[in-house]
Amino acid sequence: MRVPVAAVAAITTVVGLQARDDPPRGWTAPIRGESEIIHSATDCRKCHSAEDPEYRAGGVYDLILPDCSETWEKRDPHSRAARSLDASHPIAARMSRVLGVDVSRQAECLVCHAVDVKPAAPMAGKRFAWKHGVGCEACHGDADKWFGPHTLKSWRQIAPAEKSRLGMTDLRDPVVRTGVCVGCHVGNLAEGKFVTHQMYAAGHPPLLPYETATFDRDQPAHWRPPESTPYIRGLPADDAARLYHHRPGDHSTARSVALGALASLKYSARLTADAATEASRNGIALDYAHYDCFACHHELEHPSRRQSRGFAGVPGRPLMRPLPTDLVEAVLAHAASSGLPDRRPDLRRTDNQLRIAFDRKAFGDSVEIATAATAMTRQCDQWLGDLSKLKYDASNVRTLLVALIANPPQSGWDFDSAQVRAWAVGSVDPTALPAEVGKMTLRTAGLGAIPLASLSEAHSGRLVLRQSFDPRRFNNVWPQNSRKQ
Amino acid sequence: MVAAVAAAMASVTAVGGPVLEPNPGGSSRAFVGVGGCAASGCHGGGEQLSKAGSEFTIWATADPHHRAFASLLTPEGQRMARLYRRDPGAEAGRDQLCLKCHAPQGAIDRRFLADGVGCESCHGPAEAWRTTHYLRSWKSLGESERRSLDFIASGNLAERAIACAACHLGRPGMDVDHDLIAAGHPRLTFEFAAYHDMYPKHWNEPAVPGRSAQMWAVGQAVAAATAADLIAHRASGDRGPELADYNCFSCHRTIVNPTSDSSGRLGANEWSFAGLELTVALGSRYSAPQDVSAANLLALMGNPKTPSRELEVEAKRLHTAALKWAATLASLPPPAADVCQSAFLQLSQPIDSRHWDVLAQRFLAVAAIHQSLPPGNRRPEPLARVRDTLAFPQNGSTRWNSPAGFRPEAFNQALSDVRSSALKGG
Repeated sequence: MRVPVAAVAAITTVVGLQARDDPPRGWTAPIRGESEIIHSATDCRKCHSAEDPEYRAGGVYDLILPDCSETWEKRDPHSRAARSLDASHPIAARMSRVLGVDVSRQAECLVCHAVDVKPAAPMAGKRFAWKHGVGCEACHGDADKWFGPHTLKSWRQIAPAEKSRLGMTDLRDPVVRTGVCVGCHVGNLAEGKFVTHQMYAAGHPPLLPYETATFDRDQPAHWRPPESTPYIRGLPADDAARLYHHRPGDHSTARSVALGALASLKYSARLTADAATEASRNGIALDYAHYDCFACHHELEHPSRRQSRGFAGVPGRPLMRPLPTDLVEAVLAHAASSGLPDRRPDLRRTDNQLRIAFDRKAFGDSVEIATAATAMTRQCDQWLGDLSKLKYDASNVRTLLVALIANPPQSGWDFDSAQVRAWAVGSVDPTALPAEVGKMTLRTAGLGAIPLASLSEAHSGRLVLRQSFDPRRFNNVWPQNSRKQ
Repeated sequence: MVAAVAAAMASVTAVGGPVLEPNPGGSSRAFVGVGGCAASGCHGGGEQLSKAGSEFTIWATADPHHRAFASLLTPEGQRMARLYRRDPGAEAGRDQLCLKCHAPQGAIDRRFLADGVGCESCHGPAEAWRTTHYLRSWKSLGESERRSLDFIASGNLAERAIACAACHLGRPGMDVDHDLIAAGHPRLTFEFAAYHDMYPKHWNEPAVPGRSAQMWAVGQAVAAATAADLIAHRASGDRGPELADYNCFSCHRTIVNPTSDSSGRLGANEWSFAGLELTVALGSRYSAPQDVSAANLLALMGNPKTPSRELEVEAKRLHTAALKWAATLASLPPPAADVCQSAFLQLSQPIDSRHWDVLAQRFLAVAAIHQSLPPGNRRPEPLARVRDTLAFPQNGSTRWNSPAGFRPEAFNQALSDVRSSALKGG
């Protein structure tokens, strides 16, 4: 009696999930054990978790905070990134079930949820330390060669390039820092870090858009900005710039917003370029995670709001995942008003090329996408060079704030542009944002305080906020307009 | 009953593509227009609409095909053309792509635009047979002789289904792609038995037991062939995957608290063509043979990494095999009552899919076979409740055009009720 159902079941078997003991196609073999070759939080916390009178007396806390490791451990969600892969976590359990793998032992997951000990290695050759989640060395770099030296006072006089050579990442540089964060928070194909559409479909929460200063602050920061770090303040101006990327009188947060916006675009565009290059080699579309989720994922309605509104490009083509071009547009407006050449027409030209490439056919022409996205990363490099000359004194902070507020996106607000703009403005001057703006956008602060078990609801709350975003209402409450009323 | 069902759903079924062109085989013969058929002594009689001689009158008063061109001139049709062509001056009524289906005769000869889908759109351009097809001598002509004059014999079920599917699923050059759907064109769906049941017939269709079950099976073969032809054509160019090939709702659904899970390859779009494999319920004589299976194509379509060349080869293969199978099915006698009864019980078992498309196709299969049960065994009310679970909900002043909040469990429950009511009754 089960004949027809069996026929349907036969189809399901062909296209369906594969057996669990066999890693599904496209996934690496599970990682057997944890790598032991790194220091990570175990060793670091010996010095960095609590106030030590001897260190205090020795001037150690003139540069670093006494409890940086403690802050990370207790309040920073990165410390439990690996635990969120455990089978006890509902999202992880579901993902493991539907993907047919153990997500806590997959390189594809551990690259961002643990310390990737060999970031440059191909997926099959990676080693991980996961006891401490995204532990110290995930961002600061493999400490093997600098663990000893960095405890010496003379370490403070060593140039960042030399420290980098030993493996310590130059996180004081907002561009480098943004590159590290964006690697996981957006993606970095060269390091195997990418949340695929399949992972989202299995239940991976959506990634937030990225804004450097906000993410710095809400991590929460386990460091002080250079202007309130006694040791850096006490350095001669040249040394402060050379060793700690700080110029006396600089508002480092404003600087992080501006340079971080460009860096974030650079690394996001690089991800797109890498994906498109790979896709063009294989003659297939980019992974769907490179497209705008909500371009496809919406219920259909009749009459249709989209059809009444019209389409910017060809109707029916999947749109590209929003790049942070809008924030860069505002930053470039600020650069122009601070005496640098106006680069906005260049950005618009490349952005337009990229949109046309995505519109060329369904899922875009990958060769054209790669060309345009690569051009965009080069532009960002050039503009970063220009912008790094700017001094973020009170007057330039003011021009930045004005530029962030006074240049609404050319093509109208979308959720991502609204989100990063609001974050950027809030980072430079928290008092500049009406409460209404806060209600329509996401908060990144306090994520570390949400119990793992409740994260699921928090994530779906984010989706609701995103899906119900109303550009007209947002425009009305945006400071430039709300003040006029 | 089935008519009501199909009308209510209006957009259910199979997906996909092929065979009749407005001017078959690229014939250079001319159309004469509906005016040439409409004389009151020929096809324009009006006294008794059920009688031969009133074909034109029925078409002109009850058949939506006569309004096919007019629909291009509505504000909605005009907006569609402007959005699709990205040209504020575009006009649907002058767009050859639109005219090929909305005014096949007018697409070739502008004088016949207002005919919409007129007589010759389906029966062939009448230049060579207009003055002879009512003569005694016409009756002695064989099918191939009539064909050579571009007269389309629509008595054959496979040919009839193919003629409908050319527009109702599309074919190369008459292609409702995803761009056009995004611009506002309804998605193309076609289930032969249900459409046939709804259609205001201008001929006397003899009541043959088992006919709707046979039509459903023929329709599945033709739909598979048509879809495969389009898939092959779309894969042959450099246009990339054509989203209109896929189940709309594998992507178009909310990802905020989704109610239905994906049941295929995770995170991939689905070509949810499920009908052909269901014909196995009709027993070995009527079920699609091994080589007519869509399983391979389904698997290739479900993998975004399938090279287009591979897709094209398999689609072409299925196109040929399914067309041949459609012709075979059409030549068989309709399935007997016991075969229909057994198929009905098999198909009304719960189904392990969460895709609205797959379940809707199952419902249409059950409905078509229900129509072939002996009248005493038919139970329309429980079947209507299955249909209700598939309905798109109202959304304030607008209407969802997708199964928002669809619950496969409710569908399966209603389907089980259909089955138990059939088992209880006698």
